[in-house]
Amino acid sequence: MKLDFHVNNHQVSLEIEENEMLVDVLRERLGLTGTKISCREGECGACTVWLDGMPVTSCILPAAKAQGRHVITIEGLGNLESPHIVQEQIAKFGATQCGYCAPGFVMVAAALLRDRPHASHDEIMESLSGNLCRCTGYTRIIAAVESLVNSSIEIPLPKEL
Amino acid sequence: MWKRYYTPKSLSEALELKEGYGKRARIIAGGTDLVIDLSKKGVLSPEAVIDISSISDIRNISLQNGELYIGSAVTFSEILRSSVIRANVPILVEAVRQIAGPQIRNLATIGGNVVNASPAADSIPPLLVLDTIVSITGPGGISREVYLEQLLLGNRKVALETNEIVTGFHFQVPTKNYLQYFRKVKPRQSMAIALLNLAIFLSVENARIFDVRIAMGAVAPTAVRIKTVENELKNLPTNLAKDPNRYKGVFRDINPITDFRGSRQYRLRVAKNLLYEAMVELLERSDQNGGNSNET
Repeated sequence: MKLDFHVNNHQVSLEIEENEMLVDVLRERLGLTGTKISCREGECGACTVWLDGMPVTSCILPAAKAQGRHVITIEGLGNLESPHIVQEQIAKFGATQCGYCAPGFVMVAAALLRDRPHASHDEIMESLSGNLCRCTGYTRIIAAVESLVNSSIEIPLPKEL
Repeated sequence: MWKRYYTPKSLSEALELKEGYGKRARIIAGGTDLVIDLSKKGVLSPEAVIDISSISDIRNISLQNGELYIGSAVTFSEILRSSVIRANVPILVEAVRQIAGPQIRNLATIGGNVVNASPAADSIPPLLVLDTIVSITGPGGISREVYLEQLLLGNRKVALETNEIVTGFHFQVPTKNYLQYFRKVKPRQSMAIALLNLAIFLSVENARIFDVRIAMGAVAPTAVRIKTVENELKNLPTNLAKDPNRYKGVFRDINPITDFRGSRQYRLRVAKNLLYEAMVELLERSDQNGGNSNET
């Protein structure tokens, strides 16, 4: 099937299998390997991307569901040359070790701060609750996100939203 | 794994597709549970998947004449954001809040949770105490309605014909006289499947139980109403309802299994103790209000 959608605000049109998951289209067909695959069951959050601005687990999302919609991946938020402020804080707080879970955490944290710039501690905990980290632990990740509450941060939005 | 993936935009289109494929197609919405089974070889292998999550007619929430309607493709996140649901059925909000994590709630739908019919589905016990009616449409657009209790046949079994689609749920909005309670027993706060879940609706008038409805999940092949205890408690003075022996009837209504989440014995014990504890908590709230459950 032909899939037409927006990835990181670029119009993309490509031929895919009807049973491919979004994470595989992003990684294998578009080379966007910042989105990670870990559990493939929607349990760990490593594959989190935004679909029309909402964090979703792309490992259990049939790519066909993205037809005509806007997807933002970690590459759409920032990179080494110009990191997103959430990425900067994760680094500054030592909130990453092996780093495999970090893109997923950044995606949910950025969505939270976009929607709720004055998020409470509970709201932060809730927003991160669908993501697993198996080495650093959560304390520094939470502290990194908390440090951005009430700051004015720029979050890229899909154009039509 | 499926070969064709359809995303119909109207119910009639979806029904037509389903009629064409019959048992060779599966209806899917958020897919957060089903996609995992569909991706594994040999578990489920339909030829086609029909994704009903973008049919706008089954995505609405409305309140008319005291009847709340929730479309089957409404997501859990939409339920949590809905002011009309938050104001009227906190029991449903509390249950949905505890389902999976935010990313899953952005995709998973209430219709999917019900039709998937897991014994542990968290949205089902609250819908059972609300005496929810399920709206179903079949070939030719012919609709019928059935009580949720009658839809649930067993573990992952529902009373739906091959080409029928659940379009929504509706129930009478509870009056202010009802106290609402939901509790999920689980090993961790998020991304956990219930060891047991419990929903209670209670109305007390003049220190007497006027109406009580209790439902439990993960203690039988489907979530069940605890009718033996409901009947035991009806019209009982509230002081007599604070006796743990009144709750032994729960054992007649449940039949838990032993699995890796907990043993049968443990589930039986939790069922009775939790029900007793929850009822005492609710009855004390009504005592503080002069023997009435109307808190406003």
